[in-house]
Amino acid sequence: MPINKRRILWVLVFILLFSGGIVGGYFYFSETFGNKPKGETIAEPQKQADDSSFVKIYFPSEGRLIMEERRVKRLGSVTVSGEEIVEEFLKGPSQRGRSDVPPGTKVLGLYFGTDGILYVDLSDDFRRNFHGDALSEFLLLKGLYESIISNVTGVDDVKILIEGKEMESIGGHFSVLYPLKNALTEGR
Amino acid sequence: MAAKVFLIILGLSLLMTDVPVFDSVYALEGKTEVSMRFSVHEGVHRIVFEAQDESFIKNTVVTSTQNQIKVQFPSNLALAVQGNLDIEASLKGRTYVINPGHPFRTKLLQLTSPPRLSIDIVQVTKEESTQPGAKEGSSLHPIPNIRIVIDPGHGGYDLGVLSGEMREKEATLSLARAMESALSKKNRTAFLTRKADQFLSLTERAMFANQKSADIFISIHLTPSQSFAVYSSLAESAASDTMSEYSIISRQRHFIEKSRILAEGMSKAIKDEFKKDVIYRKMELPLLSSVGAAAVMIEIPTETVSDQAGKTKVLEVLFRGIALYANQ
Repeated sequence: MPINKRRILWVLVFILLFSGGIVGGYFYFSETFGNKPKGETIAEPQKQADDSSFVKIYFPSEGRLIMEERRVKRLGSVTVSGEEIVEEFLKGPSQRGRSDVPPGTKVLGLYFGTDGILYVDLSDDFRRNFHGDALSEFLLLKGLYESIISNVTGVDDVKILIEGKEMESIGGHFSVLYPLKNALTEGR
Repeated sequence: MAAKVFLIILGLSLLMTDVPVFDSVYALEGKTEVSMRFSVHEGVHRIVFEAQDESFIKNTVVTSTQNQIKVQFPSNLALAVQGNLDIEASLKGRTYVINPGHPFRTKLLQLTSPPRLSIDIVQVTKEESTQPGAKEGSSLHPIPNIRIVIDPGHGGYDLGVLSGEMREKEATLSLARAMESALSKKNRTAFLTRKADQFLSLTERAMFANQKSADIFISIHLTPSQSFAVYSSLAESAASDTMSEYSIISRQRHFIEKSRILAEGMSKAIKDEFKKDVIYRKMELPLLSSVGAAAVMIEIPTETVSDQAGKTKVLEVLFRGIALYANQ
């Protein structure tokens, strides 16, 4: 019996030492990496990447459209995605140079019609703060239209509203009384 | 004997009489025969060019600067000059250059049966010749009596392009008013879509032009760019079948060729005057698409109209552009 007791004692000591080693190791490594954002090291970036998307935004700038890739929250429904895109568009291009995106414009709402038309309701700043010529106005509308159409699936056309109302023109050259696709027929 | 003396005296008196004589005749093959005669009455010099070919006279363009009048003929000509002109003038190729030698204003008349072009040169004081608007009023481009609707872009809360102190809505109105005034002085029929700083929709502007049965519609705009731009409508592709419910009413379809000719005339006039390239674009502009007339939109660089001299040059360009179109 004393032999069995001794064996049991050795086994218990071994188990205790093994467990202590694991616990000690855990705390040791916890302390070592304690100053870093622990939870984000592996899992969180992966999670963030899953929740974001890259989109192509077309900005009017100095007589042409320039494309920039922007990272936005993962796109969802047509209206949610559309709003993300329009918000990015209204921020203007990150590159230097003159942009014709009217400053101070806010998105008031988006509505998706059964006719496939996405209605984009913008604040009056979009009209009031635009002071460009005909080409600038064309590129402003074209940039907004292309940004939405190329990123949001299911949208056939885009129509602009200002403060919830139909407006004949933004800059006095092109019509926005109608959806943009037809108005943006490019000439020669 | 008495009869012989009488005949000699009669012959001498006839030789001394100021009977028009063909001083010089350049009758060469392939050239249009043009006769030029002149007269002076109460200080007004009248020069008349006459040809059998009506289109030749119609396509003759007269331009004037402060010191000089240039008569540009459409093709080579054989000029028969009757009598002596007491002001300096000469034919250089297709261009007849007149230097009156004093401040002047001019009046142009185009007449038929027989086809002829009459230029009256009136001596004025230096002050009169330098008065703002004097040059516009005396512009010599042969504009026939057609109905011209001038549209000053923007207005009211729609300011248009901003450049320093300059606001597009005001600059376009100023140009349009000067243009209308100059045309009225020449007894031409011109209308303004707006005469004051007021907002007008694109539809209202087009409706106005159509109500006035315009032959020519010119919408004046500015651009911050360095280049002039001339626009005409892309009316032939105004609407697709699928989007027909949204199609823009296009009265322009029947005038698209005329608009192209007007746009080309304007472009040529700008190139000649400013020695700059002109951007010509065809686009689906609702205003131009809705007008039943030869219709163009012209964008003028803001820097060009920053002073009176620039404005005067722009007006000359607009008149010359109209003349080139009308004489096609």
